[in-house]
Amino acid sequence: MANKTHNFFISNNDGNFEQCLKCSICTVYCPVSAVDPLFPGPKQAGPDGERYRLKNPDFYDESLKLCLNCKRCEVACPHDVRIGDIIQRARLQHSPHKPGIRARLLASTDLVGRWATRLSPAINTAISLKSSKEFGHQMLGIHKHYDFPTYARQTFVKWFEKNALPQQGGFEKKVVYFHGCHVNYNDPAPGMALVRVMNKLGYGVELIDDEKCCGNPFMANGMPQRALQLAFRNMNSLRQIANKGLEVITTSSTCTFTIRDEYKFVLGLDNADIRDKVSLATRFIFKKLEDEELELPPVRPDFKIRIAYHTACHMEKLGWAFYSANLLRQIPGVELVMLDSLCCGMAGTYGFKTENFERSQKIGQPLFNAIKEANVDAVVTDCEMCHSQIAMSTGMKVLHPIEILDMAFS
Amino acid sequence: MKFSTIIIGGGLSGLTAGITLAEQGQRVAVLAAGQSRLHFTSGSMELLGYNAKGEQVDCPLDECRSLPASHPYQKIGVENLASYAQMAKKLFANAGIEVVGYETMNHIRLSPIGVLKPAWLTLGDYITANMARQFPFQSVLIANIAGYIDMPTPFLKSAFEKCGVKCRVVEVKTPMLENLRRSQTEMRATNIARVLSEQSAVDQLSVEINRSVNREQAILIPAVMGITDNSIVQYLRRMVTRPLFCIATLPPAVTGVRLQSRLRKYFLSLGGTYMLGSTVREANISSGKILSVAAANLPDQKLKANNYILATGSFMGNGLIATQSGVIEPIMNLDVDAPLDRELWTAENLNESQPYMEFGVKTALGLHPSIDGKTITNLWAVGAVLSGHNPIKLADSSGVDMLTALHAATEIIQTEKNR
Ligand code: SF4
Ligand code: SF4
Repeated sequence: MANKTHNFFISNNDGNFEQCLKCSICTVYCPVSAVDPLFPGPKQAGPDGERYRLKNPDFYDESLKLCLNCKRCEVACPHDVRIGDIIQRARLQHSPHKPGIRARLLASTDLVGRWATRLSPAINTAISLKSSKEFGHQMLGIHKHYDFPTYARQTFVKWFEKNALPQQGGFEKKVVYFHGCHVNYNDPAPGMALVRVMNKLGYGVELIDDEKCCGNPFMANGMPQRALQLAFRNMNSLRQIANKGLEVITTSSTCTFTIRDEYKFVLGLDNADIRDKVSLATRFIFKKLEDEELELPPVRPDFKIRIAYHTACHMEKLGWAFYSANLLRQIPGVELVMLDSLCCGMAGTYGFKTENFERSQKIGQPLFNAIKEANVDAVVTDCEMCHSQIAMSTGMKVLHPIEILDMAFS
Repeated sequence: MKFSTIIIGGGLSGLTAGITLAEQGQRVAVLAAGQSRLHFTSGSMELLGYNAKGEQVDCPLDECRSLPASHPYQKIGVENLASYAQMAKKLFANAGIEVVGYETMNHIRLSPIGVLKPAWLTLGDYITANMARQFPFQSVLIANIAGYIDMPTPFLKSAFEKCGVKCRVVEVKTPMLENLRRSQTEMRATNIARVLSEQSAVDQLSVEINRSVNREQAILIPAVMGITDNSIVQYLRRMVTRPLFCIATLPPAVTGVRLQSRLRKYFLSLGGTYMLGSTVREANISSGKILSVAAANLPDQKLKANNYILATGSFMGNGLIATQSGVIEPIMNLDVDAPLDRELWTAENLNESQPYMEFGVKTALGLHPSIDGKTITNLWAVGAVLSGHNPIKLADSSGVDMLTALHAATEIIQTEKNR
């Protein structure tokens, strides 16, 4: 079992590049290859390049930075090659660039968030000011057209402690909620909806005392050691919860996917005992309904909404879009259009970066077009970063599936 | 989750069965571990191209009668093949895929490296010849895209010339396509197709093609257009001054991706559930029946159905796995037709037919596989996972994929009616 002395750079490299059949199917589904000829593509950047890098790390090519870590290549691969993991690890191991201020700023969702929520009115004004956007663009490389997520006045945790905690003891059944950084600092709405929905379904909600950022932004921004520290803390908490016989639910597809897959395949940790213990709330509810342990509460009679469901990349990798979509389909009054599963181009913090902005928009274009054609009241997705990108790029209202449930039940 | 039928494998075979069942109103789930061999399909389907002696077959339906009893066509009854072949054609039409060809008479397709091969159905945008190797034109212009290397034009030119067709090769350049050449590795058919999905890019291309053509009767381009449907190919056809056809390219093939995505879309439109990235790892079997299956990415989730179809393909999609101790079917450890002695797996001469090509799941009764000799009555194995045929030697792979799937679906529909 891994422990605190575990070092990312010496942990065993478990990439299964030798499983590659050279069929090239992965290259068809890479959203970056589709728009940028300078990206070598999943096959070349992944299994093909890995053979060279193992011989001599000088073969590492900075163009690997263009990879979104969307894992769509892995989902497409008929031979189970962990292409995205190979690329992600190669970047963390070989990139000669040390993370700069921007990388630290974008990655530290937790630390930055804690300060920003305290100062939120000032920060939000600052974020939206043209002059600071220009500053961000010039000095930090955060693209000025990008609406950087604003910060909530009050963290989700504060809201929970004040408004929800007292009632949670009144439920016989309990469930633990891993809210993630975005719900806590930027957009508490899905978290608040989750508490209300779970209460309606008869579950009291508990939070995790020592919840940490899942670590994904640190992996994406070249700080694997920091990601490891966070992963240890979270795995520790999750083990304690599992020992108490409680289940953990989430609303963020990326946090969930990170704990399930990236801890193991990118950070090289042994997460076998907890990887299947964290479930998206939609999957949790769907399964309880299916097993007839739950019944849907009555839905407002006037409830009617036409929504388009967008499958986030990490949702595609989890293979769980089925749960969210089919839970929503069970709600009377919901008319659901399933969008083709396409990358929105945001990929966590990728689209924020000035050098990526245009590429990011180009990647998302087919999805944005499909959304415009869908003629719906709102777009629904399980990913908070897709939420930002779609809202900014299409002007549509974007909601979390749990928010739809909350609207229907209230 | 409960379905009428669960299909493991999402390629041509799995989708053929899935569509047929969903058309009858069944609740069907397709579980696919990844994308499929369809991506290699170079525009044509084969029913039976050669007989056991390696001779070219003109009338595939007639020739099927002389196949050995171990061949999948014999297992589903050669007398049924004609109606299944008709069903397959209808399925393509329903899914919005235009094909030409007859099960009663093969035609000639042109492989990406210029080999002339018998085929059963070919997508409407491709050039074909009759079995006497006569093309409908005396002179053609091959207009390749500069920098695109997955279509070896010298081979194609010589193939046409051998058939008495005059052939000239040109390379065309357009600003939008030139941009792709900045890539060292990814000037692939599918990436070109993304650029050529815009009318403005096709307009540029048509200007260049029209400029290049002399007195040739037809224009041939690599099949690098139309990832989701062939409307953009139709558009180009209207813009150029001669009849225009496509030539198959090396994989990944644009038309293969098109076939996969159209079939899948059609299946979804019928209410089917398609779960990509769901690798089935185990099945719960009791007294000769599957009770449920489980996928790696769906822990604690029982996937239940009345009927199950195994359409996992051969070695490429991990439908079969070669281990030190033998060839296995990894999900249920079904009985397989493959010798334990590894020496017998391959023939020394690489050009000879390779024994491992015929390995696969053993089916005693129809398409029902068995475990330790005990038949699994609610499971059907279809497509490339079946033993008893060499798809390279016989050129029968799409036929086996589709017709066995149609047979299984027909039996399942009957079983459900009797229920
Ligand atoms: S899809 Fe998988 S097997 Fe095929 S080239 Fe890509 S990594 Fe290799
Ligand atoms: S993870 Fe996504 S962006 Fe990266 S190589 Fe794979 S498909 Fe392309």
